[in-house]
Amino acid sequence: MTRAQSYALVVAAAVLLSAILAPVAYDRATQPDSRVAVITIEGAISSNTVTPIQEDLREARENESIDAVVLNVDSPGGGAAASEQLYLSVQRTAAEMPVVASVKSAGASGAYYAMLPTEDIYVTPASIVGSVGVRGAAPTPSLPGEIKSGPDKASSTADRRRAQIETLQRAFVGSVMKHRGDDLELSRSEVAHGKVYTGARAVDNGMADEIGSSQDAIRRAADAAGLDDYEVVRKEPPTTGGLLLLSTDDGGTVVVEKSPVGYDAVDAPTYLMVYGTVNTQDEVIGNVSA
Amino acid sequence: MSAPNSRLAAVFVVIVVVLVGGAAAAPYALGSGGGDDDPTTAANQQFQPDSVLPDSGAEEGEVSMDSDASDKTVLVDVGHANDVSGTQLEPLLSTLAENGHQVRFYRGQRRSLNESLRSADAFLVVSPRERFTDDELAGVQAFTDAGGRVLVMGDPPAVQAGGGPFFSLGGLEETGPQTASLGSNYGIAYGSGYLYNMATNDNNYQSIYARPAGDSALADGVDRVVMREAAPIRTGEATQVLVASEGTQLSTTRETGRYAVVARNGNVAAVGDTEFVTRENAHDADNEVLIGNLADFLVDGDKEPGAPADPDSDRPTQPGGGPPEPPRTPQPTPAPA
Repeated sequence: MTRAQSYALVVAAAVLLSAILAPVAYDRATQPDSRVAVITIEGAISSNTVTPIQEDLREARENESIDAVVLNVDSPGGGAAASEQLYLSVQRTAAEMPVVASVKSAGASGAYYAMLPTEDIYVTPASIVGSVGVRGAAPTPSLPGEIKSGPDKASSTADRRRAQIETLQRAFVGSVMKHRGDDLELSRSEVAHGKVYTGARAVDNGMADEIGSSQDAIRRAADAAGLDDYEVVRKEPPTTGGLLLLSTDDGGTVVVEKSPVGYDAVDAPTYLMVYGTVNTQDEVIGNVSA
Repeated sequence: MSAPNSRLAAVFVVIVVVLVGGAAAAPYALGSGGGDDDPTTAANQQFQPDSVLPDSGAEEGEVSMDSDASDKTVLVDVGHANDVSGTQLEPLLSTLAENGHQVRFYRGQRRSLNESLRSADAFLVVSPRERFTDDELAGVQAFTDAGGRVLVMGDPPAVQAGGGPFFSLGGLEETGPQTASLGSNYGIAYGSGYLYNMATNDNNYQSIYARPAGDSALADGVDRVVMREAAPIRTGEATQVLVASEGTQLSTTRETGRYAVVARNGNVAAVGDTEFVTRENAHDADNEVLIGNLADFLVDGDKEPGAPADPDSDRPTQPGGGPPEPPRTPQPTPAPA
C-alpha cells in the first residue's frame, strides 16, 4: 500500500466515523441540554410496581442531562415495605436534584410517604393526601393437620402484631414530622389519626404546599434547578398484565392476587399503607380513619 | 512504501492506552466516583430502632381471689346470642372454679332464665346480642334486690357492617350489645363508640389504660389496667370504679373526657370491655388483679335463696309482656369451661 493509499484509507475512516457522530453532535448542540423527568406513580404500590419506578429514579440520578424530577402521583398507597422502599429512592434522588410531586387524584398513605422528601407537593382542590397510618389483617388460622416447627411459624399473637404495626406507624409518622414538621399546622397526634385531606385543606394545614397542575409542578422543578430552557421527558411505568389487587378471602387475610412474581400460592399476611376499604374480619389499624 | 509495522503498532498501543487509561481516570478527575451510597439513608433517624421500637409491658402475676366465701353458684349467660365463648372467659371462670365455686351456663333451652337464677348466687352477662324480655328483666331485678350479684360486660358495637359474623346471615343485623335495658334499671348505660388514646396507650390507640377513680373494692390493688376495645360506661346512680387515662377520646365525638370503663351500683357492676379478661390479655398491666376483684365481687353477695320468686305459679312461664321469644336456634354456644 502506498503512502497515498494509507492516507486515503485514514481519511475515509474518519469521514465515515464523523458521518455517524455528526448528527448526534448536531442534536446535542441544538437541543436544550437540560431535562425534567416526569415519573409516574400510579395505582397500588407493591414490590412489583415499585421496581420500575426505582429504576426511573436511578436513571434520573445517573443521567447527567436530567436536572429535576416531577413525581406524577395517583395512588392510594399499598404495601408498607414497598412504600418505604419508594420513600428511600425518592429521598436519594431529592438529595441530588430538585424533586417536586404533583397529585392527580390521590396521594394517600404509602403514596404520601413516597412524596415526603420532595421539595413541594402540588395538589388540586379535589385531590386527596394524607392517611398516615398502617394496617394489617389477622393471619389465617392454620389448616387442620398442619405441622409447624414452632408456635409462631405461621401465625402471630395480637400483641406482637400490635407492636409491629406501632413500629411501622412510628417510622411513618416520624418521617412525616421530619420532612413536613416545619410546615405542618397539625400535631404529631393529629397526623397519626390518619385522616385524608382534600387539596385546599391540605395546603391550609401544611400536608401539601401548592394548588396547581402538573405543569405548574414541572415549572417549579425547573425553576428550582435553575433551568430556563428544558425538555420534559415522561417515564411511564410499563403496563404489565399482573396488576396488584388488594382483596380479602374468607379467612380475612389480605392477599396479593395476580402478582406476577411469587405470591400466587401464598396468603401472606401483609402490612399495608393504604387508603380505602379493605374488608377484613379482624383488622388491626394503626390509626383511626384509615 | 508502507509505514513501518513497528510504528503502526506503537501508534495503536499509545491510542489504546490513552483511551482506556483516560476512561479509567475520568471518574476520579470528574469527581463522580462511587455508587448510590449517600449520607441521607444513614441520616434517617426516624427509622432507627431507638425511635421506632415500642415498649411492651411485662406480663406477669396470677389471677387470685381474696374472698373467703365458698360454694357459690355463678350463672353465665350464653342464652342471648352472647358474643363470647367459654374460652374467652376462661381466666375468670377457672379462677372461680379453683376457689371452690360452681359455674353454670344458662343456655335458654330447657329452663327459663328466672328459674335458673333462682338457684344461683351471681349472674354474669357478656355481650348479649338478643334483648332480655320484660319478664327476664324483672327476674334480674328481683335477683339483685335479693342480694344476687350481677356483672355485665359489653364492648363497642362492631364497626364494620357486613364484615362481621352476621354477614353470612344476609342481614344488616344490630351487632351492638343489647345491654341498654339491662343496665338502665341500675343507672348504667353503655355509650356509643369506642374509646381511644393517641398519646398514652399499649401499642395501639384502642388499647387504653384505665386507673381507679376512687376507693372501691373492685379497684383494690389496681394501678392501671389495659382495655383492648372499650366502650364508655355512662353512670347515673352508679359509681365510677375505673376511668380511662388522661387524654382518652370517644370515637363518635372525638371529645376528650373522663370516661368510666368499670362502674358499680350496689349489686351490679358493669365493664366496658370483654377483651381484657381473655388469657392473652389477662396478665397485661394489672388486669389479673381486676379479674380477681371481679371474681370476688361475684361471690361476695349474700343472696336470699329462692329469688327471683315465681310471681304466680299458675301462669305458664312464657311471658305475656314482651314479644314472644323466638325459638332458640342453636347458636355457636361455647362448651362449659
